[in-house]
Amino acid sequence: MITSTLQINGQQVSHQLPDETLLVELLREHQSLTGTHVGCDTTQCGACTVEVDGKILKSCTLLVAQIDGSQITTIEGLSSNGHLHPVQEAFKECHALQCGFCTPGMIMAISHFLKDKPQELNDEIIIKALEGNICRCTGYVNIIKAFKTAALKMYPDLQMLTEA
Amino acid sequence: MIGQSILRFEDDRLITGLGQYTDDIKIEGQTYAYFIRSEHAHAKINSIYTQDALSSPDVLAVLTAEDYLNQGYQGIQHVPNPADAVDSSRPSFSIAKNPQYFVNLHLPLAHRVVRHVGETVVMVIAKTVLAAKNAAEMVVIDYEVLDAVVKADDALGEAAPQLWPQVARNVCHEETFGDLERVEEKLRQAAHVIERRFINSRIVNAQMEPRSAIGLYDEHQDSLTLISGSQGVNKQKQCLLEALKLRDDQVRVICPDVGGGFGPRTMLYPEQLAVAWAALRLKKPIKWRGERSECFVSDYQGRDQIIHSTIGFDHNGKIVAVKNTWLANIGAHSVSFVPPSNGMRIMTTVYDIPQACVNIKLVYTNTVPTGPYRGAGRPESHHVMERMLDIAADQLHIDRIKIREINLIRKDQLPYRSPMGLTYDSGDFVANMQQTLQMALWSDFPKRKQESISRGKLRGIGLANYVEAPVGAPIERICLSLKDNGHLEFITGTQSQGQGHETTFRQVIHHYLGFALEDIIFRSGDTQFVTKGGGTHSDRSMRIVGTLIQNASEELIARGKSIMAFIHRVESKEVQWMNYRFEITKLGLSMTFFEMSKALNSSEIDLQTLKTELNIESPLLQVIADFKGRIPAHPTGCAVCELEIDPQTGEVQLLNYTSVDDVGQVINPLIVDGQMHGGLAQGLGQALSEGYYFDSQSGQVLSGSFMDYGVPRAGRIPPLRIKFSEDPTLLNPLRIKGGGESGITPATACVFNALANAMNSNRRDEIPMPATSSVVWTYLQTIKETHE
Amino acid sequence: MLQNEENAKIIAGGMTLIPTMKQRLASPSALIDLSSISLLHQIQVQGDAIEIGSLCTHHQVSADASVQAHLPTLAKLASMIADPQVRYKGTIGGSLANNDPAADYPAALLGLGGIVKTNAREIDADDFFQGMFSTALNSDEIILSIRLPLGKKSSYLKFRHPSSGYALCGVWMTRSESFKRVAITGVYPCVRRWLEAEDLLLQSSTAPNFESTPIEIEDILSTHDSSAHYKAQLMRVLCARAANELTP
Repeated sequence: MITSTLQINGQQVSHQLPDETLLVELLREHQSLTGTHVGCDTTQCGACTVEVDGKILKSCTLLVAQIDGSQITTIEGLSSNGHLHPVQEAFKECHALQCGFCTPGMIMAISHFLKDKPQELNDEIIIKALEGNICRCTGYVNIIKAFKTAALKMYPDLQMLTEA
Repeated sequence: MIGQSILRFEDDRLITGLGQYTDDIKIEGQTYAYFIRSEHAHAKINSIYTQDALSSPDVLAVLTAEDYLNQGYQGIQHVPNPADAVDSSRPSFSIAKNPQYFVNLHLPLAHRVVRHVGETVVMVIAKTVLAAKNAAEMVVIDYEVLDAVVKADDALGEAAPQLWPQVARNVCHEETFGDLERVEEKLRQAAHVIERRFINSRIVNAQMEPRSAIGLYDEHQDSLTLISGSQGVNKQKQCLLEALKLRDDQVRVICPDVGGGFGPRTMLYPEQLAVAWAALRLKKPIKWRGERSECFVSDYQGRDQIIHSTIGFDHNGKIVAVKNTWLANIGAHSVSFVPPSNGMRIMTTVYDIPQACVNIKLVYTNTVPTGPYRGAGRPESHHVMERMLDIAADQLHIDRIKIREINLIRKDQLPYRSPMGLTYDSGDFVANMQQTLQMALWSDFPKRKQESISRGKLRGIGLANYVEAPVGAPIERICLSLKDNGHLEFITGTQSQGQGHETTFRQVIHHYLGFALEDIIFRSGDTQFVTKGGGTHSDRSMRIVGTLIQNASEELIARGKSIMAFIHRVESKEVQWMNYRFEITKLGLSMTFFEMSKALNSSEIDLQTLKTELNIESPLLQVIADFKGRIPAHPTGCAVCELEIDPQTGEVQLLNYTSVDDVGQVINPLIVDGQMHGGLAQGLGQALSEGYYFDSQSGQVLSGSFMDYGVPRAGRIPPLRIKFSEDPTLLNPLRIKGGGESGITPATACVFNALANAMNSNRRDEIPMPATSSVVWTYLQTIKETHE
Repeated sequence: MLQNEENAKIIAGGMTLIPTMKQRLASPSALIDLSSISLLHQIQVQGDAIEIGSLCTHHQVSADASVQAHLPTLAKLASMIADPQVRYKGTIGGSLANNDPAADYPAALLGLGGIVKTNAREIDADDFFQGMFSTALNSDEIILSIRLPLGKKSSYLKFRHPSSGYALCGVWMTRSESFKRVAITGVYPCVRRWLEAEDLLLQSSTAPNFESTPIEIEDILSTHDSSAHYKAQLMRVLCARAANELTP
């Protein structure tokens, strides 16, 4: 058993858990934060993506034991004061989700990427940024649109090589 | 509101992580089921030793098929034979005429024999998942491995292992549709006869939410509940209660948010039945949380059809007859015969073909059972027809577009009855193709090809015309009910798995009744109030439910008129419905539904008398609208794909994709676009990267995870030029044809036409599907070899 | 702890170990996490070499200013491993210790003739990789850092498996004065140098094509979706393209 203390979405939480507990298990089973999803077991689909100490990681492949004391942000913690994050807004405006299962992971990956103003943004860069996230419903077309839309919301003077 | 890109109601919860998928639901005291699955494709089960597992910590039960059968239950009756596309009162396949026909009841756990890798054998129930997995390791199963067969053609062989003793040569059913004699006569007389064999590859559904299920049993109510994502609660309930021999009032099925459907989630699964049974038996909540590796060997799979096509042409390139044979690999259990049924009906697609026939064999193999997967037989038929036209064009020395122009059904030929019995009521096939060609800059292709060649690349362009005949369950029910607070409750038997029903149906309701979108309560996915329904698949939902909404709205309005007439003591005919208000012009009175609801709830109206007069027992402003039968529709269009091949590596790069799609009236353009993109990605996935491979000797699955199975990632879809056209249908009030499958239906066809064009390979055997870089490179070497 | 507990394992990023544990193919009795040792996260240029701490993540290596300035090919290689999320956690030490036949770093180490520094000794790249998932490391040995020579022009080209993203064929080519190395990953059970290709580079001053360079095709790890001949072809093509890049 281990004792884990984490800050999750701004809240300090402490748990006593079996050694092999994965972060995604802590979130879903012990914190009732079910927005982070498990979509595969080979660390590929990205539905479990969360932010840990300023990095995006796949919470299905992270032992709680590895990240004691860390700061975690999940999809539930992305909006602030009832205001949606620009990436969340863009997803809705661009119809970048259908069944919604991959969506939290996608939004976390994209919002992380856009944390700092990118030097440039184009389809190639976006496609590379999304390499760790699989979607079966949308064909990614609108996800790429939402990426650009969110970028322009956040950085209106951003130079884009292709139109949103 | 119709035709507007209204943003989705469902999004607010989904983008904030507040969606409720099955595994998100936590039941107090829930225990966990873990399935031990067969690692053999075909084996006898000699014994299952469970003692050690049973005494393992925190284990509550270790169950086998014997336990299930000993309680007198039976397997799932899937009713694999679908209702006919034209006359839904009869089945597609004339199984009654076939004395050999055998359909197995699908048990929740394998009994005495395992017939596919991944088949459930033992269910361990424990307090935690970990405890269940630990206990599972202590179960010892003594298998006697048998020979396995995974391909449908191999399964027909003399020496092939037999899956079911009742079934000779693994052929569950065989039937010929169309007039074989006349077709053969036409082929004999034909100036040219083209033949080709096509293997349409097996597909893994790969919806992002792994299947899960929760079983609950309430002892006091003697009521069993299954909570599980699916494509419709009613069919799930029906299959469940038959298997467990329960009454209708004893079973409730709930479908929460669903993370993707695409077809295979329409049918009930052994795991869902197992979990429900375990809940009933142990009187405890049982949760099964499926894992992706399980999905790869148990989610019903798609396609896997071997089609041999023979087409006869006259001197001018006009088709005189089509004769196909179709081997449908149904897998280890008879779950669904939808794909060959659909494939048969649509086999002549958009072309004017006087005679056609197809011999279909439904074949058992030691593979995961197959069923409908987006398009369900129609993409397969289109792949064959469109490839055959390119092949014929090459052999007959006719231009590929010209040969299509010669054969396309013209608008003046509508309504057109195809030799397979479909009647196309609408669709401007010629104009759609012409427009697509223009948009795709088809005539300038040779220049672009030269440019590619100068960079050392091959370049190809391919076209595919398509028409669909969506079918699906022939029953449906909706309920519109005005609530006391003036809101309108809408209950539907369809089930969204991402199609945006919470938004689009609201748009349609607003269109007919004027309710603000926020004042409409949307309910689905619970048999407690969804008393009848067909679920969502086969492009059916808007077409059927849209029609039902129109019907129900008409009745609701008629009732409203009677009610207003009653209140103001006038004749019904003096009440008008205008601008979403009831008006009695001569009295200068008007009333909205909201106001009417208030009036009905005040004590001022004698409701009893009103009900007697109107002869209504139910709430006054509640209408249930039922549908049974078929509402035919024929979405149609054309697609062009352009690509480059790097001959050094075989890598295929899609350059652009153009299509004109006639989905009928578009309710919400944003959503229809999204459906098109998703279907296209799946089609391109099958064409280029989604390969499900077996070891041919043992039947072992080699593509068991996303590491091996190439689901498309971002960037798969090249630049798109899509245009929606409409040649209106009059067959339903909203002119709906359906947009869910427009993206996928022509996709593999036009990609493979482009590949064959790039490699100039129409005289050779087909390029294997999927055309991965390795496959393409290897294929190019065989071309080189024959030239050397 | 490694010496005393038979089933203890070092966990670096966990990007390989944890999935293996989830599949119940590995059940270590204890995991030793060295991530608090700051030395293991450092990247330092020392004269004509760069020293990279074994726990440096792929992200770190790809984004590091010194790596980008002095060994940009390595930064490029690191940026092509897996995906953004995995790159934030996977480490160079973990990758090398695991020695997956399709991993990228082994090609860099072998292609540059680098050195693996452990708590016990220094191991030359040529001695480090011994077989499929097998290295020269002893059971209680820990990689502390990797030392790579600078000033040698190199190129890394990778043809990715469309599903897993691993190298179906990865070629690290170094072409610098008299130092010519061609390291191939993804093709054989273990990373190896293509000596015949190196000979060709030594003999020629232009960008050769490798169309008729001998390949040990029997050794190639073929799979159900990639034949040995295909992998051999990729080797030839990527080497030709790398040589092109490296020839002025």
